Amino acid sequence: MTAAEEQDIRIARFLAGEAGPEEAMQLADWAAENAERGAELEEAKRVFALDLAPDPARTWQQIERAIKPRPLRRMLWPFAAAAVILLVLCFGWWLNQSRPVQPSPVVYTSGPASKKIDLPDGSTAQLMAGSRLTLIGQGRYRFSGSAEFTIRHQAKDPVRIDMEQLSIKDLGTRFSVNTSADQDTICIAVQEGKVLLNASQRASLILKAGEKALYTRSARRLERYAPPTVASKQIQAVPIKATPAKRSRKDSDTIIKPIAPVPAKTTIIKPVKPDTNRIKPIH
Amino acid sequence: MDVRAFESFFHRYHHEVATYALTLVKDSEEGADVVQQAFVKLWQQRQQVDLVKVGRAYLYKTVYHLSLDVIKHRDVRQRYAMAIASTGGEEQGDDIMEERLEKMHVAVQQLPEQCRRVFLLSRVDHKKYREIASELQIAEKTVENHMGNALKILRKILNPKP
Repeated sequence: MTAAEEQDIRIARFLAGEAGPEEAMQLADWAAENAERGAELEEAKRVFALDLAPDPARTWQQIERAIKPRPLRRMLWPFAAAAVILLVLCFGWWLNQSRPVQPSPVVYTSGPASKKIDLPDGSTAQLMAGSRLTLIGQGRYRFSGSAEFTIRHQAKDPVRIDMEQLSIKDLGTRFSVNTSADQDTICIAVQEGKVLLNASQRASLILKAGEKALYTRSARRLERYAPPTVASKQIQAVPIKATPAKRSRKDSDTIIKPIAPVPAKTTIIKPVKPDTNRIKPIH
Repeated sequence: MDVRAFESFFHRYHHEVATYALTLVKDSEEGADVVQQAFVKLWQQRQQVDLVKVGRAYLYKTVYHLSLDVIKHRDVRQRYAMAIASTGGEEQGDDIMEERLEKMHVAVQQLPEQCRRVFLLSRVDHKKYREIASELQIAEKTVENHMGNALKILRKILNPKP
């Protein structure tokens, strides 16, 4: 077999698609050695009816489109999108973390008669007719109407009952809440333990066992209450830091017994101001 | 390496790589796709691949593997359509091509019988040497020789040297 014949076999192999990358490179090297060989390969391609090579300019255009660095703004888009998604996820996670138990509000209503309700935290509430208690979160209630509460106290997580304009925070307690028929007056009476009352941010009051307080919605006034038969004193809404007990002791001149069954407790108060009697006791 | 440098690299090797791709996929559209993909891959690897030293070898290898993928995923119908296109030449419309195909057809008739059979199985049916060998029950080496011989004879018939 002559060298020319061997070369033809090699070219035929290449053109028939039998050559691996190494072999193909060698043949290209061979053809690149001089113009004559190059022409010989081109001729063989025609003889073998090999398709025409694609137009390099067109191919380059497509390559260029694929590799050209894109404008910065377009490149930043995916990052911006990713950042937004991450933020949303983090926020969602944070919400979940910060409020691990966030049940949808549970509404308790009494219906036409009074009704005893066992609350999830172990507390109970005797709801009077037409009252409505809504559990809005762990230990958080919204309430309207009248009821007797027996709160299972948890020092870490005191129960808070929000009424319109007034909030009652339990400090270990059995107490009752009564709302007057015209909805204007709320009477809170503590039977056991104590509660913290908050009417707006400025007026607060700590009620101990046997004590009562009145809140007047129209006047936005929170006051300690003693039955008019004995004496009563209007206590101005005081900043939360000032303890009402201390103050009343200081300028005290009358000693009265509280109306509640708890006997030991005494409160020293001033005589009642006339306008206090405007409020009709409801309890 | 910047885009300009890469462009000159492309123009330097496009022809030989495109030819190689054509021998493998036997279709200019698919060949162009393969070549394009190979260059884009090389560009993406430019930090790892020293273009001057191994860029060309990388291209050949990539073209080879991409072409094998193309062939593997080609279905029978496609192959059939391609065989018709490459023999009939109806799609390739222009007169020069038709004339050449006519000449080619005449020339192929002049090949020795077994040589012609091998040539047509390879060029028209796009069969691998291995497949032709088993189909005709001859050695692969014999297929090689037939193909080399066909090249020699056809070249003489189609381009008679003065």
